[in-house]
Amino acid sequence: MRARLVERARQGDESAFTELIDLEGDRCFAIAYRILRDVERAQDAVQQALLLAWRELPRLRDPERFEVWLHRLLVNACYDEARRYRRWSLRIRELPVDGPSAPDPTVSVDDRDVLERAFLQLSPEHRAVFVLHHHVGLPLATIAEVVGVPIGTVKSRLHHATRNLRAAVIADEPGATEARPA
Amino acid sequence: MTNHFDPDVMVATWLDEGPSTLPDVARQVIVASIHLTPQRRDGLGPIRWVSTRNNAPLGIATAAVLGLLLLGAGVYFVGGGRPGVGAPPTPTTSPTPRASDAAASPVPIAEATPDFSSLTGTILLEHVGSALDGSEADPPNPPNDTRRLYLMDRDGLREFSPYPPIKAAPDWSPDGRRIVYTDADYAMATKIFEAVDGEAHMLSTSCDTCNEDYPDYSPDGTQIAFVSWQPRISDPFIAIRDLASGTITPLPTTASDVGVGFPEKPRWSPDGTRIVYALVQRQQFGRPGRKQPTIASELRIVDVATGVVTRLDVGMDQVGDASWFPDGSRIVFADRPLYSFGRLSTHDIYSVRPDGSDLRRLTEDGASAPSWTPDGRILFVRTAGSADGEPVVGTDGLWVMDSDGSDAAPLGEALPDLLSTANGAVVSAYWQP
Repeated sequence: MRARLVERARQGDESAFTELIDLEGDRCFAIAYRILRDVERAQDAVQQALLLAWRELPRLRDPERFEVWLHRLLVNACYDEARRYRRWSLRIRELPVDGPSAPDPTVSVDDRDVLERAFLQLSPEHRAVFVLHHHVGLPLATIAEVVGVPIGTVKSRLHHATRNLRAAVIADEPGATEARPA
Repeated sequence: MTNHFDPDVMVATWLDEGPSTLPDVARQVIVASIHLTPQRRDGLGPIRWVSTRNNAPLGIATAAVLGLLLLGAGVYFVGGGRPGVGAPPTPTTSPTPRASDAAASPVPIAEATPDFSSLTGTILLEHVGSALDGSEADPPNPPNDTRRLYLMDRDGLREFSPYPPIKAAPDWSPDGRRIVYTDADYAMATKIFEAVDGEAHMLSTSCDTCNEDYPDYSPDGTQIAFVSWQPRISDPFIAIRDLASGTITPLPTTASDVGVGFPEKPRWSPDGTRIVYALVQRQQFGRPGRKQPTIASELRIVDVATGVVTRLDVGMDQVGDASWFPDGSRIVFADRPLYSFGRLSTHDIYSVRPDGSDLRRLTEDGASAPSWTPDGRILFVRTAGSADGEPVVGTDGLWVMDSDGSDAAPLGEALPDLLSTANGAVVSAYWQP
């Protein structure tokens, strides 16, 4: 069904593409939010990715590849948005429209703050790999395809991001010891 | 003994928190923007090339211009008179009779009587550079490309509004009660605003990063044509917004088919069926208020109903500021238009028929930014040469002339000083209908 929608959208059918937005929009937003950690910028990135997808869709040869292709556009849009935000750092930020989900009691306010800061210190490229693997659950080979780098680079980025986040959390817990052996 | 702290679980839990649903407002904006984003396909549709280069009337007119230039040069420099420019044109408008109309020959510039004292209505001025009130004497990064709008009437000159300074590309509504213009929003995207009775509101409703520029009211005032683009997503093209419903109709054939190009300053024909615009190629797209030097530009006409684009080759490499004669019979335009505000050499005003024939040069002394007075004359910005030979924009202020180029006269003696600063000048003017 999705392939048929993609094919119709390739022919210029706006309603078919609207259905694709309904199918993919939430997932795209969830990914973009987790990479950018900002609702408004995530909306901008999703918008940019989806409109670019609409414009370039006639050039997509294999409709079955739509999802990977869209995720690649989305990740690139997140990179753009992250860099744009550096240039225009003074912006009014809105609160999430649907609000955050209920906080998990296993993560304290302090922990969230530590993780937020540590995560934002990672490059957008490291963040993207981390989110695609740990939140979306994509296999490493697919991530390599989405972000357009060799699988070895994906592993390296994943390792670097995981190590930094873990170190930040541990450093903030002076009495804690790691549950897993190094 | 270990406690229950597991950093990996904590990171995974934290990562899954947060919103995962695309807000409805964002979805609606995206869906609405699809309609404004043409898909990239091979070819842009039917484009017709209308050339004046093989046009016999142009050859004749050119020969006449050259001949008359040679014959009239001595008269011009010795007697201060203005030489004729080609064969006497057929009148295309019926301007309000004035005393000077009785004269058979053009009024010499030196004897022209300023008519600023008889000014009625209001003139909207687009200004580039340091503020006219002297509040910004030394621009921090010259050349200063800050744009402001001013309103001028018999009572004097006042700024359209004090903030923000990046305002450009204005247009009066046909009833003279509303003004559309462009401005930058908080994200530095260019948006279209409409001012009614001193209150401005944003007309642009598309996405945050969508840009809209160069608004122009349709003859009946119910629609505006404008240029729409989104960096990295959609090439610039002209679209039409219905002011009552907000519905936007894109004209994708107006996007560039010659590489990086930008349709600028669309202007409706008086019957509302066609739009003339300039397709401009610049070194790069700048941010709002920052225009990059023009590489080349050409005039085009799009048929609103069919989207068919006609290219007008007038034999010049930089043209713009085009608008229709009030009766729709001809198009007036400028070469090397001032709104580019790059390093200019010479620039003058011309007219041509919509089919590309009968090109006529209307000025020879440095002129640009033609627009229309309520009585069918041409209002323009006159420029003069500086000491080093480079023209200084706007130093001779605003002038008016008949639609055939005759009876050119300054609008007011004091205007050159009033409308120019050391680092700025009025680059276009629009008389209230």
